[in-house]
Order: sequence, then C-alpha cells, then structure tokens
Amino acid sequence: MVRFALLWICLGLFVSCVKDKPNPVQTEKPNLNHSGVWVLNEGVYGNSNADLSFIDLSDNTVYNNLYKQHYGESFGDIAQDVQWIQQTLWVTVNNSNKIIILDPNTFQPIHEIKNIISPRYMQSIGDSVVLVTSLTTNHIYCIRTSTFEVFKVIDVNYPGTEHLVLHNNYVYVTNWHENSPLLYRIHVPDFNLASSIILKHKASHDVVVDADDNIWVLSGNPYKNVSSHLQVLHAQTYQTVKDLAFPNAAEPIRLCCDMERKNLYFIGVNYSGQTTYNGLFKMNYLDDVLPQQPFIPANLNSYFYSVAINPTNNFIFLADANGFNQRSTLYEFSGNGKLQHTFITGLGSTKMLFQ
Amino acid sequence: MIQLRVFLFLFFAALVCTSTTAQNTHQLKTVNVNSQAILVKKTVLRQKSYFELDSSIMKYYQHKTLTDVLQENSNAFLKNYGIGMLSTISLRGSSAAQTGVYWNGINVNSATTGLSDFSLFPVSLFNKVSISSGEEGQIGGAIILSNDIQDRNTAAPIHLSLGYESTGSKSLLFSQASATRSWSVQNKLFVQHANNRFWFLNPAQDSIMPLNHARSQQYGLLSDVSKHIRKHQEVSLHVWLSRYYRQIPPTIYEDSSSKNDDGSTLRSVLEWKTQSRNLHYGVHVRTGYIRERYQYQDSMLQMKTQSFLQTIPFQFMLRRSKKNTYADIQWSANYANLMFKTDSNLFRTGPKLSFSIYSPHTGFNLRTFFQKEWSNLFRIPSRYGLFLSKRFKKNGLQLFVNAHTAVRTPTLNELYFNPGGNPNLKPEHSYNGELGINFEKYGKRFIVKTDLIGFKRTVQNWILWYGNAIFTPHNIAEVKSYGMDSRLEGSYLLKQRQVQRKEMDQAQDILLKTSFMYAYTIITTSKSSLNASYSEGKQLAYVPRYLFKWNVGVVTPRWEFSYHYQYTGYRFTTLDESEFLLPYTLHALKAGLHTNTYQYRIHWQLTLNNVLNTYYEGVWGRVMPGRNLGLSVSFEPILKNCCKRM
Repeated sequence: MVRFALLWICLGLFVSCVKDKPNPVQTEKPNLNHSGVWVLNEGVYGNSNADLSFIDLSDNTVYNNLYKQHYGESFGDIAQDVQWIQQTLWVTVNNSNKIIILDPNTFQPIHEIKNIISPRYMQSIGDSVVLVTSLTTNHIYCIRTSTFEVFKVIDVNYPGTEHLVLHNNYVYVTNWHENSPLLYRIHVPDFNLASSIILKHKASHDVVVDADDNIWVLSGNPYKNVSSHLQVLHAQTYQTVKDLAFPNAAEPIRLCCDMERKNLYFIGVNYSGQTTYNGLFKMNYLDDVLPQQPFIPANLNSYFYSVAINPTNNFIFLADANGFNQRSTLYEFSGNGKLQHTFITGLGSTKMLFQ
Repeated sequence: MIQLRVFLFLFFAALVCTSTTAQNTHQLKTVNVNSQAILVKKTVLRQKSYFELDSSIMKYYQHKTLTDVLQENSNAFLKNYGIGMLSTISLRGSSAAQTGVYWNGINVNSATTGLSDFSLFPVSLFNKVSISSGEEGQIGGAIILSNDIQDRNTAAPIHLSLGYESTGSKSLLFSQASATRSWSVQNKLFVQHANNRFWFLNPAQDSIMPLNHARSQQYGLLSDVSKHIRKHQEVSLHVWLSRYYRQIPPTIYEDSSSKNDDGSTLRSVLEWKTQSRNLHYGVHVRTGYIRERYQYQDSMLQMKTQSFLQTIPFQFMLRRSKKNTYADIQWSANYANLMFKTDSNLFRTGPKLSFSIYSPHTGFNLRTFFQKEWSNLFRIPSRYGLFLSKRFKKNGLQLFVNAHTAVRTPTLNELYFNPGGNPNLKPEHSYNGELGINFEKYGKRFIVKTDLIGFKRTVQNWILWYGNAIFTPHNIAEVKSYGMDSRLEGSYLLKQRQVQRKEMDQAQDILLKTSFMYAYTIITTSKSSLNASYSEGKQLAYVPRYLFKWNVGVVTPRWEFSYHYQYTGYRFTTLDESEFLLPYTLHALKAGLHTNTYQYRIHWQLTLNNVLNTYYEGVWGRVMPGRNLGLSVSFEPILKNCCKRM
C-alpha cells in the first residue's frame, strides 16, 4: 500500500506545476503634484471592495487599490461618488451607508459619517456644506463640512434622489423613483425645499446646466417600464424648451457636459452588449434632435459605465467596467473621439475626478 | 398547500397499507433479484470516473446535506455562501449549472437558475449518492441520486434519528420501508430547524461578534412506491416534496441584513420498465413533473422577487441486449416554463443512440453514443462520444479513455430574467476528454483502490453573468481546463475474530480505513468575447487549483473513530485574479458508538468540526462556522432474520 501511496503522491506532484499564490501588488504612492485623474471604483456588489485609483497623466502611470494598500481595508460596498472638498476627498459608499473623508496624501480616513442611508451623489456648496442624495429614502442630507454633522434633512415626496446640480443659489435634485415626475429645487442659503418642478416624464436621474443656463434633465427607468427622455427647462420660467424621446428600450445614463457647457455627452447602455444604442453619445446644446449614432460606439459584448471630460483639454475619459468581475478599462479619447491612451483601473470604475 | 395535502395523504396511505404487510426477508430478496437483472449490465459497463459514496460514509451524514458529504468525501468543490445558505457544486472547475443533478434519472437542476442548492438536499433522503465526473453529454459531470429498490434490502423497516449541533441546529429523520412480493414502499421525512448562530472574529470590523439573522427551516418528504406487475415488469413512483425558509445573514462587511428567501418544490418521477423473458429487450419509460416556487425578499430595500416554474421531462428507452452487447434507442423531451409569464419557456427534444460491447476474455469495453436535440429557441449542437477501457484481470488494473462532446442550454433566468435576461444566448458546448487508471487490489488483510484520472476540456460559449446593478449573462467565448482528479482508498484488517452473541453471529473485525483525494484543476479563459479582457490565461473565479482531502479511521463493531483533513487552495473572486480568498485547512473528528437494547439498535455519533477553529470564508465576506459540535442518535429495531441476511 505504501508503494501505491508513493506513486500516487509522485504523480500528483508531477502534474501540479502552477504556482497557487497570487503575485504581490504595488504599494507605491502617486505624486500628487502631477496632474492626474482620480478614479473611483465602486467594486462588486456585496463584496465590499470599493477603492480608489489614480492616473498620473504626466507619465500615464496607474496606481490602483490606493485605499486598501495604505489603510488596510476597502471603502466598503459600492462607492458612488467622489468630490474634492476642502483639500480632502469625500467618498459616498452607497451600500455601506457611509461617507468617508480621506486625506489624499496619506490615504488615511479623516472621518467617517455613518448612518447616511444609501448615500448617492454630493453637491458641495462653497466648501462649507455638502448636500447628499439617497437611493432608498426620501431624504436629502445637509452636512456641515467643518463638523461633519448632518445639520438638516430635507424630506421630498419620493425616495431615490439622484444627481444634483448647483445653479444660481438653487440646487436642482433629480428623483429616480418610477412614479416621480419631480425635480426638486432647494434654496441654498437656508436649505429649504423651495419648490418641486413637475417634469413631463418620470424617473429623472441626471441634470446639467448648459451655456444658456437651461436645465437639461435626463429621465427614465426601462427596468420599471419608464421610457427615457431628455427634457430641457428654461432656467427662469421652468417651461419646457425641448422634450426629446429616446428610442424604446434605450437606456441613457451619465449626462455631462464639457467646460464650455456647449457639448453634452451621455452613455447609451445596452446591458446585453449588443450594438443597439450602445456607446457614448454627443450632442450640441443647440441641437433639437437626439443623436442616432454613438460618437464612440461600445465594443461588442460590452458597454460603457462612466464618463468624464477633462476640464483642461476637453479630453474624454470613458470607462468600461468589463462585466464587474475583472478590472475596468479606462479609455482616454481626444475631443474629436480619437483614442489616446488605455488604462487598467479597479473594479467597476464609476466616477472620475481631475486634479 | 394542495400539493402538501396530496403528498401527506399518499405518505400516510402508504404507511397504513404497508404496516400490515409482513417483513419477509425472502420476499425482499425476490424483489432484489429482479431489480438487479435489469441493472446489472449497466453497472458493469459504467465508466470508471464514477464514484459511489459508501453507505458507511453516508450514515455519518444523516443530519447533514449533500454539501457536507461531498465536501469531505469527494473531489468536488462546494461554493458555500455560509452555514445553511446556498451551496453549489463545481466538478473539475465546471459551473454549477454544467453539472447535472439526477434524481431517479431526471435532471432536477432548477430550470430557472440551472443549478441545485445542495444545502437543501438532505443526505438521508437518498439511498445512493454517486459522482460521475465524466458523465456523457454533461459538461461538468453529474451527481446521481437514487432511491433504488435494491437498496431497501439493507434498510431497516423503521428508522428514527435525532440530531443536534452546537450552532443551534435541531433535526429529525424518520424513515420507513417495507415490501411484499409485489409492492415495495419507502417513506422518509426530514425536518431541520437551525439557528446557525456562532461567534467569530470579524476581520472587517475587528471585533468578536455573532452571526445574526441566519435562522433556517427545512422540511423534506420523500416517498417511493414500486409495484412488480410481472416478473420483469415494474412500475415505480417517486415523490419528493421540499420546503424551506431561511434568513440570509449579513456579510462580514454589513452591520445587519433583512434578506431572506424561501421556496418549495414538488418533484415527482413515474417510471415503467419491462424486459422480455429472455432479457434481450427492455423498455424503460420515465416521466415526471417538477414544480418550483422561489421567493427572495429584502425588506430594507422593499425588494421582492418571485418565480414559479414547472418542468415536465419525458424519456423513452428501448434496449436490445445480448450477452455482453447492448444497443439503446432513447427519445427524451423536456418542457420548462415560467408560470404566469407567456413566452417564457424552453422545449427540448431529440433522440439518443448508444451502443456498448464488453469482451470478458480480452477485458475490452467499448461504448459510444450520439445524441441530437432540437429546441424552440436555439440550435443545439449534436453530442457524441466514445469510451474505451481495458481491464487486466491479473493485476486488477483498468485503463480507460473517454472523449465526448457535451452541451448545456441556457436556463430560463439566463434567457428571460427581468432585468438582464439575454435571449440571444447560445448553448454552451464542450469537448471533454479523460484518460484514467483504476486499480483495485484485494489482499488477505487489505484492500487498495485507486483512481487516477487526467482530464482536459474546452468549453465554447461559456455563459457568465456580468454586471453590478443589473446582471446580464453573456457567452464569453472559450474556457479551457485540464487537471488531475485522483482518489486512493485503503482498508487494512487489524484484527479478525467471530463471536457468538445473542443468537447472532457478529463479525468482530477491526479495520483501519483511509482515503486520500486530490484534485488539481486549471481552468482559464482562452478566448474572451470582450474587447478588453484581462481574464485570458487566468483562473476562473471560485475554482481552487488545489484541493486535498484525507480521511482516516478505525472501525470496530461497536466503536468508530475517524479524522478528516481538508485543504482548499486560493480561490479567485474575479476573472483577472486581482482579488482572491486565502487558502484554508480544516480538521474534523468523528466518533460513533453502536449499542443494542432489547429491541433496538442505537447508534450514537459525535462530530467535532473545524477542530482548530480556523477562520475561513466560503464566498467573499461569507464567514463559515468555527469549532462546532454535532451529536446524533439513531434508533432501528433489531430484526433477527434481517441481520442474518446482512
């Protein structure tokens, strides 16, 4: 029996030749004196592995997993938004119900604001106050940056407040709930709900202000059978200037604009990875029709997940999350859509922030 | 509810009917012989990457699920979401949906998800559990569960067992079996209530804390009825009703959880098999009805999903056999649909031809098959294969080679789930090959058995779910795997004597038993359909490259002691190997004691799991229990003639 055992063990060892232990990860810190882009990686849902990357644009070096490498743990589950506020980085972690404020030089947390339920997006008001929206509640949280305390909670009609934008002493807040046709208008000095603008369409989720100060609202939730629309409101009267309907089943997300606020971009997502309405779309703020073809089409079997425009040169940074079960690919395109660089970032790159 | 009533009626009706029948050993034997006549050739010709769990192993797991028994006694890897939680199998790196789970010949993998949750399959409900890693036509092999009539030969007419675990789990098993000349009935009931509560050091929160919100309840009722119509003709009905509710605990990163899932399943199989008098022709017809209900709820997010599903399988097989040759013509059909949703269905049908020849003189065995299926949704590639083996009588060695193609069709969830279902999916298609050695040596005081199998597999159009908020399945092109699957078993007779006790001859053998299992699995994406993918050449998620298990024990007629060791290597949680779970080693100790009272044989069993209190995660963030204790006691009436027979 000993002979058989030995033969068995020898054969086992002979055919087992692949090293099991994974390769060690990089631990260097980026040089923050260089221009670059912070990339927030939301992580895989349920795995609590959200983290931060930095791309040094002077030499195109990518630094991944910065928070975990230097602090020892990840942000939490599904990081949603990152903002520069008072020389610190504020990160909302949606499924972990918290906001982390970290020192970008040391990657150590300065403070954690807990008990913010499903925080989504932030809008800084003069670096002294931050408004935070919430996915599952009908609250908008007002946080004082000096003390990190929630000093006021604004209640709105429906849960699911999403993107928000500050314009002329008002913050406009979208509401993604499938029954909500409302765009909330919050007066900034006193943080009161001034009014709720009734939109033509329900489930608004993105909002920007163009060069003419008109408010562009992207709405829709195909999963809940609410078709997508892009509605433009006059900044003073809130009358509808344009109302553009997307094709059925199209799912536009991540509305943003360049520095001049004359070109608008949004991502058309096709979750099955087919070519129909899948890619980055671009339109001028004077256009009266929606683009039919993507400005930058997504690759087959893929879809883009996030987009940001570099304010210094209007270059487009476009992330493909690669299915969220491997690292993301971040593409850098010139303003005319020519590919410049490709970077490998963390899991589920969801937000970019330039410095 | 109506199903439950119908089943309970059948269950107790069967109990009443059979309680009046005499426990006749001779009659049982008659049944057994007839059944074996139908099955004997199949057994002889079965390929040898096939392993059947020994009944002496199964008895240790009466209050456990298939997860536990397969995890400790096979080369399968079980992806486990926590104690009592979802648990799925991976054979040689396959996905759970690629491994067929057959219960009395019918694939009981859920048609919605394509997989079986092994934490809901109590071991005690089945008479036989087998693993066929190279099952023809299956990409990832098969788990074969059966309640064969022949096994009732050794079953006690009544069996009661109670179990308790230190994690707060209480379980009860009651089984009853009886037979007359023509009828044979078996009923089993399994009930488990578990708190699944244990304390652990949470590395994410750096504190010792209990696992909360982890309660579960599980009920299983199984009934097998068979009737011999004539000498070579038999009809049997198998009904299995299961129901569960479980709270889903928070991951180590979450403070709390409000998630739970519950479901119920009715599975039934009706079989008719007959043979001509000269045994040259046989017909086997099998059909069934499976109805599933599943519900997932997260009260915090006010989220609730439900699915109702029914599946109707049908198989017809005609066999022509002569001496050591047989040819089968089989026609199968399977219809599955999501209830209350129109156009959400999948229908497959087609023939299968197979031929086998065995030469006792030369020891050669050849088997080949061809299968074609059509579906209402997509084109299904043909399946074909060849198995060749050579047995050397002198030294107990068998060499074999097995090559076949296999297919897995997309499940109803993959096609129709809202949001995210992908109706453009194609079936997965694989080329499987294995080369192996089986060796058996029987000495005066020892037995050695070993299986050493090398395998290689290429799967095209492998289906993988992508996404975060919305998940969508995709065909990710090509996945290649290779590795080694091996097993070494040995028994050594330490002491042998015969004693006369209470009118019964009892063997007083003292045996040393041991088994080693080793699985080496490399499974990587070879071609990705994504433009920018970092998964090529990287190990697939949740497939450990190295898996090693060792069991050793001493068995006496009165006492049993055993030790179990298990090593599980790194498991990557992403496709590009960027995130992983650390390897872990587990140790377990088991002890059993048989005592006899006036009328009953009592078997006590004590198990100490995870002796060294190792912290490990089955799935990212899902902690598994530390050191825990299990105690069970079983009662069986002593039947004198039954024991003589055994």
